[in-house]
Amino acid sequence: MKRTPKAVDKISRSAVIWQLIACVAVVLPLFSWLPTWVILLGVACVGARLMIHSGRWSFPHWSIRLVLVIAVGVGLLMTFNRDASLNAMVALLTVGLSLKLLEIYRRRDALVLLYVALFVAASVFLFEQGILVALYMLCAVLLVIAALVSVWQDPLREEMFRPLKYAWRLVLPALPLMLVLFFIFPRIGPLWSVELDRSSARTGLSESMSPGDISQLTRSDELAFRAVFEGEPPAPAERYWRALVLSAFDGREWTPGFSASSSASTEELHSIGETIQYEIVQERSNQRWLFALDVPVVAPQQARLTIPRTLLGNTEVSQRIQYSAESARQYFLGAELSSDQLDFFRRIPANSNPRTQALARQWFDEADQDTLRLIDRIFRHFNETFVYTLEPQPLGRHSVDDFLFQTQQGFCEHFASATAVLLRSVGVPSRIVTGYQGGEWNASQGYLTLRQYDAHAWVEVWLEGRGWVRIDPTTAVAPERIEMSADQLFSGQAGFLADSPFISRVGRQGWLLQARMQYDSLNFAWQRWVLNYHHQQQNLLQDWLGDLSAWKMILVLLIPASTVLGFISWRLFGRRSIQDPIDRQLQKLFRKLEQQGYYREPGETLKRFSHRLAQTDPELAQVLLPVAQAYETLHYLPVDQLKERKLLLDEINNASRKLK
Amino acid sequence: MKLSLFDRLTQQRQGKIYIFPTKAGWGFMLLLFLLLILSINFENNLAFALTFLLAGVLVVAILHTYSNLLGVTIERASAQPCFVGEQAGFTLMISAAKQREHQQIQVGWVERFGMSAIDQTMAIDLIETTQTTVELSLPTRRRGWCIPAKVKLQTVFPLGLFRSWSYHAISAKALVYPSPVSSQSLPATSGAGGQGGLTEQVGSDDFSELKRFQAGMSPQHIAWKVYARGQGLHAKRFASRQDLDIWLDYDAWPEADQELRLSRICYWVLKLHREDRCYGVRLPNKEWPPSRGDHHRQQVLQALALFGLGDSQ
Repeated sequence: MKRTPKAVDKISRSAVIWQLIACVAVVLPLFSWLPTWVILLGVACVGARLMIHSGRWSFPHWSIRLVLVIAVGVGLLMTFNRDASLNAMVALLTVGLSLKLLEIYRRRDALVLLYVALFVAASVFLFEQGILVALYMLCAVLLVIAALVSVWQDPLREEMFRPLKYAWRLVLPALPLMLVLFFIFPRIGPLWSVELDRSSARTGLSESMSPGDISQLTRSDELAFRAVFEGEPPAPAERYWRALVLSAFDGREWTPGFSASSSASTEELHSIGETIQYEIVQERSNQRWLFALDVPVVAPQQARLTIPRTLLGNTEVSQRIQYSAESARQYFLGAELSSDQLDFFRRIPANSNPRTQALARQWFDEADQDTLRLIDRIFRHFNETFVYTLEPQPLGRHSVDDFLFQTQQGFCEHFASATAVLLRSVGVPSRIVTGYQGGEWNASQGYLTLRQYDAHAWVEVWLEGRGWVRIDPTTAVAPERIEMSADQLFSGQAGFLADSPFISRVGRQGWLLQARMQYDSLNFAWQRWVLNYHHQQQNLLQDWLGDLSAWKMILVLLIPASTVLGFISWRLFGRRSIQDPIDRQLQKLFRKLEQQGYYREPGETLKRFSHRLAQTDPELAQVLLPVAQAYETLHYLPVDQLKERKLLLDEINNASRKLK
Repeated sequence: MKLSLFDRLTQQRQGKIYIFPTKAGWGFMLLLFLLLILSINFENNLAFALTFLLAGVLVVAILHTYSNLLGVTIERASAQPCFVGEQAGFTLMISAAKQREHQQIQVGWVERFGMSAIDQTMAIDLIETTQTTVELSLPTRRRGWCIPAKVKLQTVFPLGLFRSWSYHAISAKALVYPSPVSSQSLPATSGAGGQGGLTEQVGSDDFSELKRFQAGMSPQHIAWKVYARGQGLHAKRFASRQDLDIWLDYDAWPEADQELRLSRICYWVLKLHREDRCYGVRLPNKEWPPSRGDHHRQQVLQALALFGLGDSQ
């Protein structure tokens, strides 16, 4: 027998609208990730379904649907080139939703649609994780639940807002349950490795440094990392964040020199005084190095120390990571290096920058071969005539010669490079360190924010008996660069933040700055406590609960969950207490009669009940009859309701007493 | 006896409420599982949050589906009599506790013979009202009392993830009369009045009088000519109807078996009642002297329905 779909499987007209709303709400945040034609298809499908809804079009013939499915399949194959990426998955789901929208009119279709919509909602978070997106998705899920309610309600019911109200009553109590689960659900690592298909553009410092590289970074206010301190942060002049050490110079460009996997041991560090501990939340850079305050004592779990004591991650930083670090504030670094090892830091190409080499030799002689006096001479020279600028003139092949003798203007990398070359020319071991300097202190939350424009380069020089010593030539030409934050210093200079949105260029003073700081701390708290919760969970749970044990976890889950559910149950089931007192007393009376073996039949009036009782137990009937009379008087005669209610209640209580 | 809260929740006076996931509910749980895998694999805490939110909604939906049925009872049920082979109709008044909304409660008989008895078209809403009536029917095969199985109330509202149901016994029973079977003539019977040999043409007796029409009189006897003259509605009375006492005798058809005899008597009762004639019925265990009217017919039909069925009075 052919089974025809039952008419009752149909969903109401308002439910169709709800399906459209739910699907659009869920797909909306994905717009920038979807190919244009998928968006157009979605819009067309929604439009077509509305035309069908209003009765102007009919449902598409199966052949049209078939053609559509084939066309869309081919389109997807061509767009994504059989590459099973996240984007492709989301596009596929979106296309599926759009086409399914065309044919919904039965419960079954609607359920498939909504379940897929929920899956799409989850995949939105693989692309966007901001606070606003999260709040938006909460609303979107509310709409999907409303759509689900609308599917199951009376097909003839047309009120649009009833399902939304009901959905609210379902989602609101689910929120505390969600929080509890979120808090204690154990986070285990990925079950199998997945490729996050995101832009792999490297951001921030690069592995080499040529003139202009770092000043290029000041065009961006993109977040590099944040550092959280328990107490006071180091003074601005001490905030040197070490990322890379560049030891090899080819006349123009600085490179690390030895490979990261070299087997030589890390340079010895002797810390003087207290070390400082802090936590770093680093943004995605698609590079391997991590950041630490000059100079890291140990490497965090995710990284190891390189020979010149920088942190090298085990993998590229392809998503936001969090690690704790410890640094020495005063130290001896590499003091025991042998002369052979130090030779590496004296090398410069013999025929490059000849004028610089000659100048260095001249100054070194004038300084009686004293390294410190030479450094002083160099810094004085910078201080006299040099200009610190974000947009220096381009330099030629002998970049240091050009810089020292012609342009005399540059950014930190120019000064650092020139200093190192001058020192190496007279055989003083030196190297370039790149990283970040300074940072914006957020006092309320206790963290420093470092942005790309805080990028910096300085010099380490090796002194007999002291080891590597940090010197910063930038302080000679622009001491305020170290004392002030980069954005205070540079704001107004052309080129600063040139690549950033207008809003981040204006919001740098007064209340706008305040607001920006507030928003920044909110965002940071969001990242630390929500997006990166799996890094905090273990510690947090231990802080709150002491030693973790299975039964403790179960209690933590059960107590709040049962409180919430108990509250809902009370709200849902407890309403019976507002019963009419007459009904309540009457029920009590009937229960007493039941104990004596007399049951009122369903639908039997009080009067007929008492007449029936009279046949077996006239005495009992005499008790019940006045109640029956008063009841009928109240309900069927036009009398003073208040007075009669009182009378009836008295009669009922009277009868109850007599029954005892 | 005071019912504890637990008793009230689990054992409403009318019957326990059972609850179990529907197919859609199992599907939803599968979806949750997939979302959990997604969250774990991408270490995405917001996806975790969404998964847990939906899990919370699932749990809350249990309570809502349960509460949607809680307090819904069959306040009373009544039945309409019918003839064998027809559908016996039952009218159920479904009522709900005050102050609460109940939506999409399906009403049906408890499943019998493997057939799903819940008919989805029977879903009712109790919004802004505390009671409503539902008509259910049962096919009949034998005369006598048609005693229905329990009634099942069921709901999947609000999310369709869970189905909760309860069973309710109803006290109403429908009387099933024998199906009328026509016989060409009424055999001569030795009635109290000694009259006999009635045929179907008995209708043409002498007209005796006109009486003012009253509600309950057969419309077939309205004197239309009198009405057309503008003298009001009158019913014609026939002398012979009062004079002749027709007896419907169980023993009149020796060749027929018991059921056929009852069916024939039933036929004649209906026919004579329609013609507003006087008739008496004689069954082996009891007899009703000739009379007319609804009450008489009712009594006789009930006796026919219950004849020989022992104590089911």
